[in-house]
Amino acid sequence: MYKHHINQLLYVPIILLFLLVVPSYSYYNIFDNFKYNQPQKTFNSIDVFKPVMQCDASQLNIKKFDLDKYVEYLVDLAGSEEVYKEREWDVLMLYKENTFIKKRSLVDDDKFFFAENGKKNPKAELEATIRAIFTDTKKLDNLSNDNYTESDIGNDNLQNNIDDNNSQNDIANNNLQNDIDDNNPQNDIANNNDSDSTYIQKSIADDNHPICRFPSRTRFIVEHLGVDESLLPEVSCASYDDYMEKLDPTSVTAVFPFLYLENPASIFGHVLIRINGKDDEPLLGYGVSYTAIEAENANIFMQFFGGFTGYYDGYFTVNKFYVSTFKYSSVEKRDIWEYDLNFTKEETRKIADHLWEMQNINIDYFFLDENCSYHLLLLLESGRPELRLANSLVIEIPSDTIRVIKDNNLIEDINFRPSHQKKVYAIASKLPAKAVKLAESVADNKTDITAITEGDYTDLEKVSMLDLTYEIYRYKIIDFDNDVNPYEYKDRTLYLLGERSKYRLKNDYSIDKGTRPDQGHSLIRLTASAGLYNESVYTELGFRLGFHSLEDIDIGFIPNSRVAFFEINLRYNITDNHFNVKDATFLSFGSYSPINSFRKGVSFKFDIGGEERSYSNYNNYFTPYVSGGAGVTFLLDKNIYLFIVSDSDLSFGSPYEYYVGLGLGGNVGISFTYDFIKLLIIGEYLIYPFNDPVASNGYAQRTSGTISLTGAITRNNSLMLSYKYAYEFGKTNSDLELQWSFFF
Amino acid sequence: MKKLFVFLLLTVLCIPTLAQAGKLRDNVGCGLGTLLFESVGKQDGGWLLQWIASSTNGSFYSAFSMTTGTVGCKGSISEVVKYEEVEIFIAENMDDFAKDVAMGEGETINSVAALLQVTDTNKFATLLQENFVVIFPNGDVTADQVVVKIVELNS
Repeated sequence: MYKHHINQLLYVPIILLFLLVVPSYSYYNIFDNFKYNQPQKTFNSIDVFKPVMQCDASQLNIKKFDLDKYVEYLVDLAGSEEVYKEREWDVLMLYKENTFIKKRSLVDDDKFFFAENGKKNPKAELEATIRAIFTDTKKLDNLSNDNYTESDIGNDNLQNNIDDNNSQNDIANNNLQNDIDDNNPQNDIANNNDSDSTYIQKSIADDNHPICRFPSRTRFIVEHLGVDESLLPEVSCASYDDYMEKLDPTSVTAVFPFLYLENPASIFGHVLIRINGKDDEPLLGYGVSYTAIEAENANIFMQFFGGFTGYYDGYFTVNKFYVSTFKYSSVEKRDIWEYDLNFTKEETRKIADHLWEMQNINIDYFFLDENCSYHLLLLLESGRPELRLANSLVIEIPSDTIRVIKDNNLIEDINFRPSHQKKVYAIASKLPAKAVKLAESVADNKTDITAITEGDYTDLEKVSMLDLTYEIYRYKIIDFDNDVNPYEYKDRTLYLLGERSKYRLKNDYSIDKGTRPDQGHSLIRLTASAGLYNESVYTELGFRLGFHSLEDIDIGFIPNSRVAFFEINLRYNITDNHFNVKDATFLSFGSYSPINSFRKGVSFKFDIGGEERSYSNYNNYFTPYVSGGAGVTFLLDKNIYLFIVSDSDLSFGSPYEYYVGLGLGGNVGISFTYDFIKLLIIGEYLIYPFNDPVASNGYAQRTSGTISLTGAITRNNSLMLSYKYAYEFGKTNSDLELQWSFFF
Repeated sequence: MKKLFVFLLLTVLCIPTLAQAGKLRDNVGCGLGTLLFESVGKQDGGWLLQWIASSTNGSFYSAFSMTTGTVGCKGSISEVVKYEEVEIFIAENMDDFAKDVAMGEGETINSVAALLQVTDTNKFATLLQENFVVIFPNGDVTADQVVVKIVELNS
């Protein structure tokens, strides 16, 4: 305690000393700045500052003249100090380079650059930006008089963002614009026409001024070149200020709606970030996503091929967060994981600034790498430029994004938001089957609610049953179930809830969270194996670009899902000294989600690839195929799944008559997971009735049984032991394999 | 309390405007409900987002220009704006809010409490739960009526 006081006393002389020294020091400091600002340069500081100091309204011309010089001086300084090489400049401009590609910006939109060659030239772009931010507002006024019409206000201008009521435009255009903001003056003006035209011009001019349009870049230039801010043009950025007021950026949360295989579009998952306001109420925050809206509406094949070629444009969108929770947890029935990140308020503000700069800016959307995850990582980098998050090699998907965030120690807290489906299960699991049946019957309006309220139950049970009744009702309404009449919805909802509100009890439902996406294995898989094929010994190497298959441990993924992508397995047969491609998968997905009384979803599978098959009168032959099927999955017991799926296989190659063979049949499988161990048993049967394989001698069938046992050693390492016995076109084969998998 | 009284007073003074706003927003009604009315039989029915998008666009904007007119009510503008925020929030989360009120807890109650600067959220939640039938008398209730009730109850 005493020490503390003494320490405080010590401040007195220090402060005194400081007071004495500072005036002279600051003088020196200014001087130093001059010196620093103009190393090896012909620029004379007096030229700039002297007239400015004398400047008054009548001498505007002088000021302007000298300002031009000052700007040129800053431009020179930016070059000589190599400010354009700063990491932050790369982050703000999305400049990327690697061993193969020279530095260029990912942005494909001219609006984003001031320099003509700005996409490829960071230096030219910085110089042009410096000149741009010093653009006289008067000039802009004139410009807007000539060039801007009212329709531009809506399309081109930067206002109207963050709307409290997400208008249709934000979904239709999916631009940052149109969101954010409820009572934006310009909006009214746009509707009210020319009642106040001078005001319109003024605010258009300022909102379009580079300082308003690109606040992060302005700040970057001011900070790195020591720009005297009083010399910057005075602008009033009404839209930007409004945006900031609405957003009130305080902290950031990464939001990961869990994978959802029933909708193919979600196979790669999705990630968004939420910018929390000072209330820190999740629902009042704003969700930021990066999407290619056209792609979302296109069919899966178009999504797929368009996604590969960068055919679609991607944009950032901002929505009230409750729109997202509604979409993901109620409509799509996805769990949501929320990772609160440790960005400070200042850093969050930087992110919001950068987001503002990115609005309406189009970037070609690439399915695999330059996708939603990647761009959100880039957005996060803008908050803390020293972070290097977006470094994916070839591929970036949302679950990996979460792992990147985790690896960079950005996670402060993790929250779980269960899907509506999980809530229903959680409540139902606390009740006896009879009570669940009754609740469903009440929800369907087949039984009167008094059966619950006046039934022989404890109050707590009644509360659970009433909660369940409402949740089932809502579930069915959203699913457009035939059991419920949507025209009664409002009154019936209020009736059910009214009964519920009479009980002042709260019920704690423990909801099974499943596994966290950040705990799952990484995406790219390498495998090495050794085994016995019939009597010969072999070794095998495999590579898979993504993501997950049935035999992998399901932690962090949808149980019993398969999304495999670009997989190849090369086998070297030691005994026969023979090398071959055992199989190659271009795309394979399968969804085996169990049905229950609330959910009657179909399980399905679809594969494109090739594999080596044996034919009785033929050598082993690498056979390309397309196959698919549908069926049903049951949850037999906790973590035991049984699936039965039909299968049809279209194979190509010379073993088949006319080079095409059609096989029909099905698969039956059981999977059992216990912590880090997974047992999988699959039986397959296919018959080729129409197009007898030329070489099969009438044995046109393929039957096989596979049993595999996988154990995870670490998050990214696992071992699998499998045995397969197959009868293929008259030949029998067995394959015993021990495989090590490594994910990265 | 005093603040809320002023708020309430403002509300009463502004009722003509708000009533108009309410009218305009009638088609928004009870959140999810309107959606269903409007989307039954439509192909993309059930996608609530699309509903929110299509049905709130026009009405909300016009409602806004109305309510920004409340500046004429000679009160603190920020209070009015706050009121709007709550109203929009409830209009867009009517179903969830009704559910949370009935169950006496939940995120939407927390959000409304934050917007109204209510400090004791638990007490607030219980108050709302006890008055569920007052707040939501029938399916025709609109968001602005709900807000007026809540403010009354809480003052």
